Amino acid sequence: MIPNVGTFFDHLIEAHAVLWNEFLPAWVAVFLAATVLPPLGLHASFRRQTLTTIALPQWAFAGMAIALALPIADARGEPHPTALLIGVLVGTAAGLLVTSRFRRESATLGVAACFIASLAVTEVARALSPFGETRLEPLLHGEVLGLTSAKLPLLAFLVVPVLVTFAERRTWLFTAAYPDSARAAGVSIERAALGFAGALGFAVMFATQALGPLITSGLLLLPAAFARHRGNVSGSAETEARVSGWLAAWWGPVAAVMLDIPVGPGVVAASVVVGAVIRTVRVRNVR
Amino acid sequence: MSRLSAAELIVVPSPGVRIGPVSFTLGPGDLLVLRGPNGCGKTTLLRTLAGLHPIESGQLAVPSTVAYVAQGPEDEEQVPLGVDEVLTLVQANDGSARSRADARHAALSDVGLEGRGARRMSTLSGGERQRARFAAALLSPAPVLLFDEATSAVDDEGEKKLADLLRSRLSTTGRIAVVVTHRPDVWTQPESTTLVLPAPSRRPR
Repeated sequence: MIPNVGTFFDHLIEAHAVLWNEFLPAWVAVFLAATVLPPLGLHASFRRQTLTTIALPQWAFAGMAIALALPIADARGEPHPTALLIGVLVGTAAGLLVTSRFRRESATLGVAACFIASLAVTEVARALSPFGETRLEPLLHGEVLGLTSAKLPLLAFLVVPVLVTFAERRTWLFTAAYPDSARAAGVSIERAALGFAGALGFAVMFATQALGPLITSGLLLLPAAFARHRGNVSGSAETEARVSGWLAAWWGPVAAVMLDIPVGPGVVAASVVVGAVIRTVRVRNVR
Repeated sequence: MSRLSAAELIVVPSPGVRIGPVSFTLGPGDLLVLRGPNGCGKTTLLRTLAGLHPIESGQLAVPSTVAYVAQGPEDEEQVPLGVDEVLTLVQANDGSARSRADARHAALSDVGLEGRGARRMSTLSGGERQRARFAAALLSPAPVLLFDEATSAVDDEGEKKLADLLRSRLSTTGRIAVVVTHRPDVWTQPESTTLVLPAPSRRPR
């Protein structure tokens, strides 16, 4: 059976029109997240701090996002079970920070653990919370098309400080690759690590709250994983991660509209396809 | 004018092991060659000069910024850096982007790595990587340069050229350098100072 190419392109154009006319704020929000998350994920892998700097903000800020989405206390002022959940999350994150501070784990293992852990934690939160199905489930599944234009200025405002921190990318690289030389040159390793963790945590926080953990994790980890290719130097890997993120932000929502699925899986699938295509093209060019 | 001096400096690399007392004074353009048997504490002393290891007693005067080239590649393998990127990390932000790029190109050319700026560090040989790190140190604005066996994998002829290059830069810029080496014939000159560390003294614990 020969697929009808004309019909496919009609659907493609229609999906773009639907997104542009009806869901532009959500589309722009995904682009904003894709501007900062992929390069931050890449630098996190350079710093071999995946477990601490990705898992910690994800776990801690997933808890904060839940705290913002649900009431902490009920009408009588009794503590809400969510407060306990948040305590567990923050405690886990703190324990993670202490135990893994001086441990360097495999980046691949760390990324996989972070991805699974963040999804598992948020799914547990959804299951335990009485508001899970009504308020959290759409966020968890990345159903973000209902995002209104009223939230966009705030999102854009939140992206700016993260972008500003990229002025420090040279310091991030210097302290990650040559910590002793950097210290001898008068660079504070601790300040660089703190600045990077702050930028990452801030970006994950607003992306999780606006777009949910699925899109956040997908944009943070997948473009970075593909960009960290054998032949890439850090500058070109960063560019590749950014371009991959933008392409995923473009095609993910389009695929979601065309296939009638939530945007979250669409962005994750687009990240994988874009990363695989770019990697294949690069390998062919190199050879 | 920068100065680097140590007076009765004692360093303890591990409990029961003592290096020193060591005393020297270096002024603009001076080169100190640091020698001694394996395990005598050359690296620890150099790390102390770099501010990476505490002093036990004595006096040490070092500028706040030094260029330190470690014996190993530190965590270089973890970050996929290009040769040109390594130089960018330490280069001062003075001048235009074009002039800085020209300076990096010239620095690579000086150490025999012309045309390799786009290469990833991990694809270079050990000697070539050391040349790149050497070029980065020369390009940095630091008034004091510390090299810990930084040319041990470079071929004989290449190491002689790097030694000549360093001496030439010291005399023209007034910077100070300390070089840890096991090849004194390459680095020692009549005008350079040599400090030979004895085997470390061990105190009863």
